[in-house]
Amino acid sequence: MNVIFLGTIGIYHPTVAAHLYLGRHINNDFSPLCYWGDFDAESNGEPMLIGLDSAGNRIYSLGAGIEVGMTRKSIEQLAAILGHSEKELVIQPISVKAEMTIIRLYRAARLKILQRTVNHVVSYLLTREVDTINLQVKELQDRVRFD
Amino acid sequence: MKIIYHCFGGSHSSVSAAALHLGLLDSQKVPTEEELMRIPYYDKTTDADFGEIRYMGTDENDNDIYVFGKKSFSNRYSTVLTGIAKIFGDQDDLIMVDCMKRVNWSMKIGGFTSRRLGLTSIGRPIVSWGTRKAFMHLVNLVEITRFKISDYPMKYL
Repeated sequence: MNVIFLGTIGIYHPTVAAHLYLGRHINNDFSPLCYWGDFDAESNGEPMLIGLDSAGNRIYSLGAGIEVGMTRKSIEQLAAILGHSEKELVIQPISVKAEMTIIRLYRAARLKILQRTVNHVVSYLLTREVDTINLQVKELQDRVRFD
Repeated sequence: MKIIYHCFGGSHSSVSAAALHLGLLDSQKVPTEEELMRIPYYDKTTDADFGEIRYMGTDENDNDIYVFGKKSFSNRYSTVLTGIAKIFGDQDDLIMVDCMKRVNWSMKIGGFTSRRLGLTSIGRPIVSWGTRKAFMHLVNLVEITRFKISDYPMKYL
């Protein structure tokens, strides 16, 4: 099975969610997390493979911009069109209160010189929302029963 | 193979390109407004249809043809969906065709007036005029797509 944590900017809260889901210990510093703040991966646009869980499920994070709902709908439809069942793909949207601020910061980081600073600011914003992200991860774990 | 034509609203250029691909429109003759209006989904979508991948038909080579509207997402949406196909190992079974580069201002203004503002009587003649004006560009796009799939996946796009 493939699990996708979908959010506005994939390299931030969806990546944190994916790592939390995989049971990785997260302190207040997100920078060691794979794909955290990786602007090249985000602009590439493809789902980022964060790791495999104990059941062998592949865990991804993905950024969809402001249209998370629309993207989710398209992905689910595409999976069906390609002949895959709901059991092969689970999408968990991840949202945080600082969503719009994070989007604006990400846009500002088109200037390469700002990217490190933006990552630090987003990191600060998200450390205050780890519990919210964790709740959404737990929601997924409750929703899906893995064999 | 699945071929998805996409544009802003999934209502005009992508639908016209898909209709051309399926032979619902004659590529040798610029269609009339009535002929355009007979195409399924042409100038008939609503806001709820954004992101909806809609089936248009199957071509003579058994390729399934779809359309969808992606709003102002550029190529990113194609990359996201192609990435999903890759996850499943189906990347060779999917082609995304962006129609936005074949869209002219008349189509944009007419489409906005008809679909977003709901002023169909004003927007529809403008968008159909624009579609007719862009018709040969759409024919070209479909021909390129057909050429690409003829030796796909040996030669990657």
